[in-house]
Parts: sequence; structure tokens; C-alpha cells
Amino acid sequence: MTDHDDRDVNETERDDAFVRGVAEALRAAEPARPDLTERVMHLVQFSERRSREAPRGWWTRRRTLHLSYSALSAVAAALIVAVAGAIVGRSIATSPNATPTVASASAKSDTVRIVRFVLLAPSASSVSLVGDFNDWQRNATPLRPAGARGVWSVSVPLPRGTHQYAFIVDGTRWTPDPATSTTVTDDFGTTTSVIAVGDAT
Amino acid sequence: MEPRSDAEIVALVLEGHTDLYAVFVDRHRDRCYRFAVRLLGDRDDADEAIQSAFVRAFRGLAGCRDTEHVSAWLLQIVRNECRTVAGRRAKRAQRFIRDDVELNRVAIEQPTASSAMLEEIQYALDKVELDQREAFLLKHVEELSYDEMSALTGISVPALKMRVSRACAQLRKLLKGEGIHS
Repeated sequence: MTDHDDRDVNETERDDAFVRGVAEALRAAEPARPDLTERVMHLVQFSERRSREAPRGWWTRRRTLHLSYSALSAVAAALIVAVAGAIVGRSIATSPNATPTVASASAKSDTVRIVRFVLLAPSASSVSLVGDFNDWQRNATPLRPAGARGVWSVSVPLPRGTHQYAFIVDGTRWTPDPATSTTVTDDFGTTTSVIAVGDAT
Repeated sequence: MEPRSDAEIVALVLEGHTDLYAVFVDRHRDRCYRFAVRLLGDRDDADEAIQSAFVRAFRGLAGCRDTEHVSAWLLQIVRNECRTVAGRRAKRAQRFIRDDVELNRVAIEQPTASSAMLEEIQYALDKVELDQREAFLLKHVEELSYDEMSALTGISVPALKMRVSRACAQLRKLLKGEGIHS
């Protein structure tokens, strides 16, 4: 065996060790979310019911699925598979003590869409979403860290219409969505972002 | 009592025992989710992809020809759903690219020691082209043979080998100095 061959063997062994190390790390357990099976079974049973009600291949036709407002769960809504946009931006702190303007929900229609809210906040330890759709409750809709560092996101089923919302960073920092220029500001100077879902204007 | 095999569960579900599909989902969910997370680099996207994949698999159960290898068939559906999700994500890529630049400018909090290595690897993996990333994961994480990978993806074995090789080369380059070893 020549020196050149020795070098090749050593490099191959190093490469193998490197690949094994990477693969071993990537094989670490990554449990699915606890409610996954429940969501899937809801969708499956929902499809089954709809299939029985309309046996002529209802899901092969293109149409918007209408759900009753009381059935506004992420489970049923996900069937619509309409991820309406991703909005990413850098968090910009505004008045930490400001309070939001509470707007009334404008759910004239019972059509829902899954809307994904995304915020880039690398130094945040928690981010939540508040809006007229969750009565501005800061603990109701937490965002989860997404894959990229500092990116937080959450998907929310929303009825068609115009909605006001904002992010709460670290439990106190009121943060309008920096990625959208559509905002409203109340009499106290608090800025809130606005999103139009469906064909609302 | 022996747990039911996938083939038995599929047969019972097709006979109308829909509730048993939950057993099938429970059995495969974590592996599918891990594959989707590693491929997409985003837990929300992965969750969306595998939820959709399991619903699609249910609808297509009757068309599953090889019930002895349902897990491979399911992984194929997961792979396709991941690609659909990745395609949707690409449409909003401009914003992500812009924010990626922003991301590099800010001070990033150090992750815990136990997760630091995996995070570095996942971060590097996200930089590898999707086709190559997928091939690498199927080969080295899911531990499929090249023939199995070819059956799953419809890609030839030599092309898959090339993709895996390129993925390894890029990971090596990206992770240089990270001290990764088996």
C-alpha cells in the first residue's frame, strides 16, 4: 500500500465517521405533537361522513368548504388546506405598557382559512398572538419556535373578514407585525396590525 | 397477544373499522414527523405535512398494493407532502431570505449544550439543496437501501448516490470545525 493509498483510506474513514456522527444526531427522537392522531382521526371521520353524505366523489370537486362557526377547530379547518401567507419580520418594540384596541370580530361568513403568523424575534423567550379572534387574550395563542433560529410561528383558523392583531413578546412587549404596513392606531397611540382573510377588503 | 401487523390493520380499516386507523397513525407518527422536520427544518411545516400525509394515506389505503410494506408506502406519501409544503414555502422565500440576512446580524442566544450540535447540523442541513437533503436523510437517517430509495422516489440509483455524495460533501464543508464524530 502506498502513502497515497494510506491517505485515501484515512480520509474515507474520517468521512465515514463524520457521516455516522451527523446521521446519529439526526436520528434523535423527534416526537410528533401529542394531538396529531386526534386531529388526523377527526379529519378522517369528517371525510367519511362527508363521503357518505355526498357519495359522488365530493372531494374531487373544487369548492370552498363551509363549516359552522361552532366547528371552528383547527382540526376541521385544516381540511381546507389553505395556508394564507407567511409574514416574517423583525420585532420592533413599541410602548410596553400599551393596551390594544379591542375590535369586534367581523365573521359575517362562516368560511374559515388557516392563517400562519410568523415573527422573527431571535432574542425572545416567548411570543404570543393576540387579536380580535381570541379576545386579545395573551395566553390563548402562543407561537412556537420554528426551524430557523429566532423564527416563531403559529397557524390559526380565521373566519373570512378583516382582523386586527399584534404579537406580545416576552409577555409584555406589544409588537405590531413589522411585515405588514396595514395598521390602525387608536386614540392612545397603540398600533395594531390588520389582516384581511378570504376576499374581505 | 401479538400486536396487529400493519397489513392486518389496513385490512380491518378497509373493512370499515376506521377507528383502528389511529393505531396505524400512532405507530408511524414519530418516524414520519422526524423525517419531515429534518427535511423541512420547520416543525409547523412538518406537522402540516404529516397531518396531510396521514389523511391522504387513509384515502388511498385501498390503493396500497403492498400491504406488507405499508411503512415504505407511507414514507413516500410523507415525502410528497413535504415537497408540496416546501413548494408553498418557496413562494414566500423572498421574505425568508431577507430575514436570514437580518438573522445573521443579530446576536443569537446560545442553545443548551444538549441541543447545540443537533441545531448546528439541522441548520447546515437546511442549506443543502432539497433533493440532496432528501437523499441523505433517506440513506443515512432512515437507513434505506439505494434500491428502496429508488422505488420510493422514482430516481435512479446512480443519481441518488450522487445526491447523497454531494449532500455529504456540503455538510462536511458547512460543519467543518464542529468536531462531529461518531
